Amino acid sequence: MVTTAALLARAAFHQGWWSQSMPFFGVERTGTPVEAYIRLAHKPIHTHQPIEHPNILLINDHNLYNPKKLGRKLTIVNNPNVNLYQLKPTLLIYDSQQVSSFIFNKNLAIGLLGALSACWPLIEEKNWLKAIKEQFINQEVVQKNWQVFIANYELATKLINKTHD
Amino acid sequence: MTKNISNNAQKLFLKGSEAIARIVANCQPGVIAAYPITPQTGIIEELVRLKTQRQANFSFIQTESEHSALSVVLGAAAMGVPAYTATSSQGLLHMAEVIYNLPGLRLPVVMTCANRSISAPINIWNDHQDAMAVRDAGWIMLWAEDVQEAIEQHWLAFILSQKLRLPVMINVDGFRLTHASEPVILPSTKLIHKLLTNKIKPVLDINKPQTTGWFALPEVYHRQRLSLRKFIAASWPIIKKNSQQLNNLWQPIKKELLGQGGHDSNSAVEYYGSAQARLVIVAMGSIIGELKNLADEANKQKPRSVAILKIKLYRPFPEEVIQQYLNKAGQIVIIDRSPGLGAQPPLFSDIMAINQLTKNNISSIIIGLGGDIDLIKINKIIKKHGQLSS
Repeated sequence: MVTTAALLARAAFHQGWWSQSMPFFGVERTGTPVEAYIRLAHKPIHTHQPIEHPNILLINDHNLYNPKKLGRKLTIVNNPNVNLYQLKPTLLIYDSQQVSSFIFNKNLAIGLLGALSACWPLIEEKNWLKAIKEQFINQEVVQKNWQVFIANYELATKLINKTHD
Repeated sequence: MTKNISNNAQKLFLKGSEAIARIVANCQPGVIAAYPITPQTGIIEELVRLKTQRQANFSFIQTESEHSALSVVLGAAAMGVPAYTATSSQGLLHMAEVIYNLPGLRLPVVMTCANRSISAPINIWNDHQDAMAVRDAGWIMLWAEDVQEAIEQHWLAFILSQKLRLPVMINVDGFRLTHASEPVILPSTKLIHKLLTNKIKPVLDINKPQTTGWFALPEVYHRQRLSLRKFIAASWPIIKKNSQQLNNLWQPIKKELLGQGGHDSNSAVEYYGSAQARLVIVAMGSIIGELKNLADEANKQKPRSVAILKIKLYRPFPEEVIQQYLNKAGQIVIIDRSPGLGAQPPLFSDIMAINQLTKNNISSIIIGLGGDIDLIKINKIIKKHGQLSS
């Protein structure tokens, strides 16, 4: 989640925005809840405070999903147990980990960025790719992450179009 | 990663700890020694990565403790080698003995303190208790608001340490800055060395063995310690001159790459807001960014309500500069991120000790011990003293 947040902020930076990502985690154990905050703006960002009421909320573990605590404009939740995709204009709950589980054999949050890109197309593809290349450096890892990103982008795009139909 | 390249600087998107490692590498210390501790670890990891990828050329010594790490850089400095270390929290406290030795020996060393609370109970998040525990040890102490300022203060720290022959500590809020990724402008090695010579006169020579910092009888000891006190207190003009030189060289380059934003870096304080503000809030570190936002909101509602005085140079404490900004203020609130157990909090105590200040309009709040900053409390103070409607 921390890397995913940094990726989003980095891609926004390449898009020409001011951006910031900042993680919050406690005892560093796999499986414990982790939060990461991302700010994007057209002017310098002064604050380094956590975000309490986000515009966009990405949740990579459905166990942490609380329907009373949603992003103001958009919430995307990974839930591998969802049989029927559930979509409202501001809420997308779907299985975002199926591709990363297949490619990496684990649940990586980068899939959520693909879905975000489908719902919120403000960052160009070339800048997402640039950010992924910088973040992971190793060509094979870059390639796999890009696959996960694109697959989730296409999946989320289909879901959105299906709902609009 | 590069947004724009010139011979002088690059615009990059970096995590705070990576940015600190890069500026340290660009300053080209000869020796780095460290022992890992959260949230400092990322700085050292990145430095080692730069070394193993041959992007930096320093001797790295991973020691068995922070005490040893600072002892190693002390030895390097005594041999005339620019030396660097970084730590946090309990690690800083474990260094305490050597922290006092360095200024006493007049040895230039640069250290990043990724500020973190101290035990007990154990807490890994940010406040200023660690650095405050050693605030009167004889180090030059700088405090950064954001990653960009941390970069600039590290550059300045290497210059000052060598010009003053004193150790310099750059305080960077743990997690809030060390783990925050943001756009920064990083000066090149070539540009840095227009001001930084890395020439340190050695006090030890393996070909001519001698001792340093040896036994002193009370009269000599007393004189030496008072002499050190006098020298540090009088070092402000040297700090100011070197800060201005850095500013003159750096600001135009930074502005060209960064556009809007950034600070007029490296003076003792930054004053944000109207000189006639009804309330002046004094603070240090990353909380300043949020205070600036709150001041902007308050001043939109009621002009000249709130101003912020950011302390960037904490030791030597720039009393005269602070006094200039505070002696016309209506109300003054001092924010400390260290409790001052058994006494008043440290920043509040320092400001109350300024002779020429009127004291009856100054109040103290302690905020954010162990990480969480209570913005509601700060907002209430702004509304009350800034005379804003609720």
